[in-house]
Amino acid sequence: MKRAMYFLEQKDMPTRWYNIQADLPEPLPPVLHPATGQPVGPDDLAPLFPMELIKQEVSTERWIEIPEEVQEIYRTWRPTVLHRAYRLEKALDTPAKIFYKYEGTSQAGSHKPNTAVAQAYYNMKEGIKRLTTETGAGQWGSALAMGCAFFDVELKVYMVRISYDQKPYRRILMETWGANCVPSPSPDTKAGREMLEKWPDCPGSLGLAISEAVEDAVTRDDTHYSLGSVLNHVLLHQTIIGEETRKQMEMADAYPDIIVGCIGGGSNFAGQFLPWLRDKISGEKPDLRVVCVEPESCPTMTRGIYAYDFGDTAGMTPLLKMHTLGHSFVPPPIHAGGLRYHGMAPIICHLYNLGLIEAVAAHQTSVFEAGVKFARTEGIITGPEPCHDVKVAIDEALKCKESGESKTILIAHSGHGHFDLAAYDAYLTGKLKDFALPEDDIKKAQSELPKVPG
Amino acid sequence: MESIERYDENMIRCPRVGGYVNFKFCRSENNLLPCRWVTGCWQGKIDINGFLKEHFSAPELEKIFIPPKPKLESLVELLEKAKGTAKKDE
Ligand SMILES: Cc1ncc(COP(=O)(O)O)c(C=O)c1O
Repeated sequence: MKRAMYFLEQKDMPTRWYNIQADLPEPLPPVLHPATGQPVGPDDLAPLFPMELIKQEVSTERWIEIPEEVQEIYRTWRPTVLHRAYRLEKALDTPAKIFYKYEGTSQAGSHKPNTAVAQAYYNMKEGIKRLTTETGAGQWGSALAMGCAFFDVELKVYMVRISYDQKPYRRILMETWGANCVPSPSPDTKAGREMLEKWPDCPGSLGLAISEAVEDAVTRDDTHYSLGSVLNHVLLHQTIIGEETRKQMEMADAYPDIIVGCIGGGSNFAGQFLPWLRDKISGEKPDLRVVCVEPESCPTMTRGIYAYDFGDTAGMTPLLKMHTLGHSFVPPPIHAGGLRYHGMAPIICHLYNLGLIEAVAAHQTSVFEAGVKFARTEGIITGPEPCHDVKVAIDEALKCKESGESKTILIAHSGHGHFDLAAYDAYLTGKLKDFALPEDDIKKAQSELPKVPG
Repeated sequence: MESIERYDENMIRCPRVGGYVNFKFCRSENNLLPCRWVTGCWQGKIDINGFLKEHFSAPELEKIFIPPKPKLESLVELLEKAKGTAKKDE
């Protein structure tokens, strides 16, 4: 019998998150306070986050115990299954072995609850009664709504109004889990009121929704703010994915040659690959390849350059290291909302700069083509973001077909696409268009960056 | 000068928001200035560069296209601003 699924017993679920900061060959560069130019300290962040999460943000402890109460909630859907994609392998006629760790079986349909539950818990422990957050189409808002429901923490979600009006289903999920979801701009904050005065029918924006959520948290003692990606503590909570996968791959008597995953803010993929990367850092698995996949239309990593960001035009903000394509770079549209952020998780940028991970870009039409192939072989309707991983895994499997190598490919599959069927419809009806930024535009954008020695 | 509203009814799917939006949204979502990604999204569909030059000043365009700050830094900035708001309201 060919074994297509690897289940981990609940009693074998990992009980610690893995913190890559303990094993980085060079520490992360500090985050500087925009006003003082000094490194940001715990007190600066205390109005937004509980102390335990602030500590995790900067911790260099290798292992962080998952609190028993969080483990208990994790066990309502974890461990998630590791699949062997035999049917996809057969369709590709490849000697490669393709595995995927599927996070779409969480109640919210993605990896996001791994951190939502932990964040709700730490806030509750610190006596926080209420959280705020922002959401675009509602993926993060719904995951946090579920996390808060488990710990009796109130949640207010500022949802970009245009989505609120157009995409009722995620809003209904949030409300069913007990969150108060309001369209942003709202009359409930100063930022919202100011905008509504200027433009009563304003459809909102992600930036404004963040401003409202932060203002709400800062102006109430019982309230904190919560973020679903990018930050170190968010990536840390996601490492449960990779720690489980390590045990499951052992059951399959396999070790990945290549791990692929999409990067939006970077949380799902980091959650999968960080626990493996320690083998590469230690020299035990020097040939392990970690491939981050991003859209061709928004090549933050693949074509970005490591430069000093000049912050604002008046030169008032401190110089900070980050990936940037220059201030005139403007990525074209794609359908995977979560992959569009220009700013990437600092841990991922850092590992990329150290040459420990790679990045490739994928065209959006080819990404949905891969999604459809996956649906027709493995059955799962993949979310637009993880369709990127599937695409690159297929490419790697086809390379194996050419070379005759039987590599082991592991896909970090972050969730289903049941609320993204309009994007599939656009692909199936031929309405999706690929945009690749011409090389000249990239060069021009890069030439406009200020030149900083070093 | 042509009207700033002339492309307003054109629709596009916005990957950030995750749904369809009209051009009016794209030209004003950034605190009443255009979204930082407006040229990429609308290239090939309308004369977006001409539109921007016609309706926005050089300092406004600079403001639109500066890269976003690292997340934690931008959160601290928002937090300081919100604290200021709370004090003024007391
Ligand atoms: C299913 C899914 N995967 C991936 C992402 C990208 O985010 P991240 O890189 O933080 O995992 C998102 C973002 O909304 C998502 O919903």
